[in-house]
Amino acid sequence: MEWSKAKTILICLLLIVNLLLGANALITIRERDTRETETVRSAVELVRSRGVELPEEKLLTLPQTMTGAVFTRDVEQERAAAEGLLGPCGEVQPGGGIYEYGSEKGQIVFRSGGYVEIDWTSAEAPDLTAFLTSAVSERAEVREEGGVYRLWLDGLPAAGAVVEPKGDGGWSGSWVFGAVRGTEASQVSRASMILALGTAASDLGYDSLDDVEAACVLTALPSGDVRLTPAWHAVSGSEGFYVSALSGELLAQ
Amino acid sequence: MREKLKSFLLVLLSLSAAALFGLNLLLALDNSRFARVRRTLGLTDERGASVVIADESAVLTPARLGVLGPGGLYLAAGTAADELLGETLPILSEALGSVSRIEAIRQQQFLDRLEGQGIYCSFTYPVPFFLLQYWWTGELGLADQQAASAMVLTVEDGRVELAFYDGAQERFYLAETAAGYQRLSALCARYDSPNAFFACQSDGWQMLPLWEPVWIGEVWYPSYAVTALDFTQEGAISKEILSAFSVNPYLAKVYKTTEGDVVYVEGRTALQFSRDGSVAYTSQDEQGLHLDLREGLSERELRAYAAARSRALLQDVCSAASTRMSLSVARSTVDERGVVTVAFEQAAGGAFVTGEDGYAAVVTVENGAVTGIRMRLLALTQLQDVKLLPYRLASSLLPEKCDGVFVRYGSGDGRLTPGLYVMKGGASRGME
Repeated sequence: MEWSKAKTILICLLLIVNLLLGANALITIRERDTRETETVRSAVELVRSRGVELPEEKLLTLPQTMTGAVFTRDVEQERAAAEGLLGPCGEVQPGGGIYEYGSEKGQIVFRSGGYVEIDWTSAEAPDLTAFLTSAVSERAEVREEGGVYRLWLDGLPAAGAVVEPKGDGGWSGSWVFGAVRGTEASQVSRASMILALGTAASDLGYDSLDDVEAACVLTALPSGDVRLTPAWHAVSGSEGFYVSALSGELLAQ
Repeated sequence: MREKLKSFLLVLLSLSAAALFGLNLLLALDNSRFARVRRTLGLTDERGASVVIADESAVLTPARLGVLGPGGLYLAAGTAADELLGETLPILSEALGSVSRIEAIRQQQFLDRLEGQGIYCSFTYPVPFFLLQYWWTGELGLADQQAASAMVLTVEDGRVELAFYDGAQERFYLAETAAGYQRLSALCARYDSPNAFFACQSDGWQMLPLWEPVWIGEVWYPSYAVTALDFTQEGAISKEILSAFSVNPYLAKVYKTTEGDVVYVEGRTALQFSRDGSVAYTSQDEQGLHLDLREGLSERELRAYAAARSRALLQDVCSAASTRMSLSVARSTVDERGVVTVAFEQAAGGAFVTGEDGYAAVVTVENGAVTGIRMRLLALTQLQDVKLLPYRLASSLLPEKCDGVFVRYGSGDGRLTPGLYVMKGGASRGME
């Protein structure tokens, strides 16, 4: 009987403690979000005072953290993808990280830094979506529009990861053929990103930005691997630029 | 039944209380404290990004790098040179790795290629071609006679060819490559705003070699504030730095010299840290820092591998000291005893830094192990950009004949300032 009473008291106490802790956590999260939003608005105001107008409400919808990845080139994966498209094929390695695969259907050349060239001779149209999908990880998605294939990573467009028709009837472009070597999480706050965005816009001669969206940018590394850097893509009219969410620096694209 | 329910509720509430307590604790720690914790655990670098990337910079940095676009030569200046190197290195690497045949050509054939489209780069010294191949591709090539002082990777008629000038032999060479002409053409098409020309393309530059680039307009380079890492301060020598040199802080004897330098001695290894950021490491060969070089390597293999691996070791030291130094191989020699000496220059903002004693670091490798390191660890902070002396004005100060004009950083008053340096007979002197 005594133990039962003690349990009841303990349950009541724990309920109160949990309520207090829960309320405290909620208030803290809310305060933090409010503070973050205020900081974002202050940053936008600061950038505005420097003569660059930013889409404030859009900036508040951007993710607070973003993740990029480095993909190690996987020659086996490339070979499997080539065989999937060409069927049984011959292989040539001229050096310099170049791998050429050929069959009666056509030829595929994989180069370092994710660059691929496809020459197609067969009358049967190639299934490039399947070819490009087979090469990328589960986090990625292939989207095709008007014969141009683009890569999306974690729901974000990967700038520079594009395979498009080339002049002589084939396709070429940069893609990700490999396994994730590691990930890079953004630690730059949204406010810092806004200041970096404002500086970049000012340096590039923009006085207003129409839109800003989360994206990632493909970079070929000297080792032949590929990096997808999380970034903010700023749009002004028909032009745009990317700012790295890892460093706040302007990315060449 | 009721008691059982109470017990279950009690356990549930206890667990949720613990979880909520943890959540509150996490929320109470602000981001900066998290960052500090993560840094302490070695999970983040200075910028806060998760550490997953090994050093991806090139073992050798070209002194000048440009793109021959549709309108002419775009020569990268300042930090743009670093960005351009990242962009062009995959193509240069592909070309160097797929060189099939090297043949001698005439000077005019080399100059003709400067009129086309492609990538141009040059070095402050003739780099043996096989070393260049290894340092930029990771594959040791077969060429052992030639060296490259200036080279141009051209794209024409669907072919990519590599033409280069060997300053050691004063000869010109051409090599076919399997590099992708579409990728190179696309790169060249993007650089349609020329800012430079070659000496052969204009009158009045007879004092320069014909293939030397000349900037047309204003050229800006960043200046830097230099802070030497003062190792005599308390806590300046971290366990990470000692670990990079394989020195055990608990086993090593530590003493101070009369100048205040801190010296660690462990067995037959000595490691000395100075107030001006200098680090000197000496060891007997069997106790040195092993570079995983197998026995029986040829001289060319030794030169190639020792330089690349020594550089990786030095970059680890820089990383352990929380400073970033971009080191580029300036010299790699092997003596008759098989001792390899590798000297490194520091690159910053698209140019090399002229060190007080010539090099940023010198490494000695004996029997596959590093037995000597001399380096100076500096922290650079980028300051405002500085305009260089316009080439037109500089031309009046040039000697009648010289080997080239390079941008280099000179140090003084705790600052690195860019200036034009004239190369003549392998030596250089500053102009401003």
